[in-house]
Amino acid sequence: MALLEVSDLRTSFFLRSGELRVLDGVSLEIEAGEVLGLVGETGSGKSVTAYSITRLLKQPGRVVGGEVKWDGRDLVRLWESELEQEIRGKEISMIFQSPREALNPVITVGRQLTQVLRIRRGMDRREARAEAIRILKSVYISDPESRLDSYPHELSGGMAQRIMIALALSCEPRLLIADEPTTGLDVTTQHQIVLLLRELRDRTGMAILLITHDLALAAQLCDRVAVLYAGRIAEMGPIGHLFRSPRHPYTAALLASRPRLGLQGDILTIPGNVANLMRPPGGCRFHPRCPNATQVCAQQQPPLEPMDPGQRVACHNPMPQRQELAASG
Amino acid sequence: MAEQALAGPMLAVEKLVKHYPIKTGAFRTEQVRAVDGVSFSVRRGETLGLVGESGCGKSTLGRVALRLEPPTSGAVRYRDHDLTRLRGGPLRHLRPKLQMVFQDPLGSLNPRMKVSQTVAEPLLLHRLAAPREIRTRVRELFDRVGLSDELLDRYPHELSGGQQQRVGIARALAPRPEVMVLDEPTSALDVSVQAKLINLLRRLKEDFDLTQVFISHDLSVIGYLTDRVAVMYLGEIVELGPTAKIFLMPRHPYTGALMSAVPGEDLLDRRTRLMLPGEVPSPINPPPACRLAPRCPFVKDRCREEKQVLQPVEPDHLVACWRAAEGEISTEDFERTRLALEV
Repeated sequence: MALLEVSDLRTSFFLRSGELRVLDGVSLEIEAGEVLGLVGETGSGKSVTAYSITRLLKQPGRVVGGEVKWDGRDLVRLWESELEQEIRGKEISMIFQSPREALNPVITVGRQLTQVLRIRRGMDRREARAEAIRILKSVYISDPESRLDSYPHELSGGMAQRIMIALALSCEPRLLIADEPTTGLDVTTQHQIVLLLRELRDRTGMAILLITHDLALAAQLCDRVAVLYAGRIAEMGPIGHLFRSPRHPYTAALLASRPRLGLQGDILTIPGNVANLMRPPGGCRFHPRCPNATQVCAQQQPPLEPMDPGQRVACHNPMPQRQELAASG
Repeated sequence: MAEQALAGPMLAVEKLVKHYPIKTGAFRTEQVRAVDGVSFSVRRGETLGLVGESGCGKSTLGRVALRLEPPTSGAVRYRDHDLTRLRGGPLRHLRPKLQMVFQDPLGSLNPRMKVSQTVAEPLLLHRLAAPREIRTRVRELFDRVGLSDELLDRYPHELSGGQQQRVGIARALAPRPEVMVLDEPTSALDVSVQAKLINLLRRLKEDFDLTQVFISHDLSVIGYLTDRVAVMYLGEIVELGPTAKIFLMPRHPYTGALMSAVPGEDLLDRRTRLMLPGEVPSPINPPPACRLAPRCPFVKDRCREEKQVLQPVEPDHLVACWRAAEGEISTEDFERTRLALEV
């Protein structure tokens, strides 16, 4: 049984101007110890998926349908008090894009860590301090004793993100949701965080749900990837299949629109703009921008179906499977 | 174009220094050495990439190179003019030729002006078009940057990020510049929006015969758009050369680490290459000799004692590392795995 099973999740934002259907039936599952990437552009619903799973959505957003199965329990229908005491921060932890904003600026790093340990794990002051030092060491922070006395503003971005990760790991969660964890960090620091997350997954066996707009980041960290477009999953499968032989035209276009050294001529682009969620196009939401679109695409929403070489794809006219698995192009 | 032939570079900076004073205590002021003795030149029609991590001074360098801020010392030359010596009228006279595109599209547009007014402003300010021609010129510019006429009378907040950035580009193009500095123009945008903007920038560079300095931390964009690259670390240029050489044959250990952190041709390649331990030190008290010395895996005693300047390893490829210059370390050395998870 999967660790987390999301089925047909629907989330809407109720605005004065109408209902914004941000998630329109998202289904995915995460196995224990697996890194799943949720990749998409602004407005695709990737962060909303994470917030819907942990029920941290703010008004006017609301989950209007579907299930989030965790250990046989449906998180959508769980009592808030149960969710808060037993799941959130304990079994499922989250880290965010702006680590320094997520930390309390007027309390030392040490107090923030030990508070969590004392409340969540019932440790006394001395135990909590020893454990905090151990946790900081586990995210490779040198001289952890003196770091405990730092305030968040004294930390660099990379250091702050490590501390956030340390905080998230303090209760040994089985799932870490990482929402754009490296956005805004420098490239070499990003790389350090990627290696750290990879190493932590191998060491602790926790699963990671990585939310990102960055295909390259997903390639570095994920086992499987789900590509979201306008609140629906376009394609999902092992990262090698998606990247070497994408079948959904949107995945293929995203990969092709990456600028890089040695590329001649224009970058391939996707015509048009991202679907308007207030009045989404009928059928497949990508069809107005799709090079493969035919009449059926405007009328019928394609189901997410298994396709060679081993992914699931929601498309009536998928891209041909690439024979050679060469990385070129 | 009926321009006289240009013998020298279009834009050149020489030993440029920009320090900012900051208060570090009640009675203490120290200098942030944002740019600390930088020289480079850009030929006509060339695009020079400026890369480095936050705080390395690349944005400051961009602004000082356009004389939007005065340097602490050093010279900035545009054609035959020494911009650092010019003030008032003569400098204003050259302003139209030197334009900048900023990273934050919304923040760089006046929220109370219709976007057509924003684009018209430099034309009015520098008296580059008769008042009755302005509307036509603005329409033309909108067309060139791929904005529909319907957007002329909108306000910045009514546009998408990509559209806002196009307005910023139209404004920079309006006075017919020769030199354009672009500071992270695509960083705030989604992949698919970014791709279109990059294609546009490439086309405009040809159409308007622009000389560009392109500042970005996004190395894939730099790899695609630039002819040469200058790599900055803590206020200094550590390596300068043709883009392909910088990407494929980096000579400076810092460039090596930077290139190791970016995805190559194969996104799925997960080999770990050169990683530097620790983080970038403060630009207030940079290390005395080679600034990378405290983090460099190839460091020797000499690196901590002797300041190294940029010198050629090949005629068009300069590096500020004596070990690289003397052939003691090379790109192959950067390929060895070095795990440095600790900070």
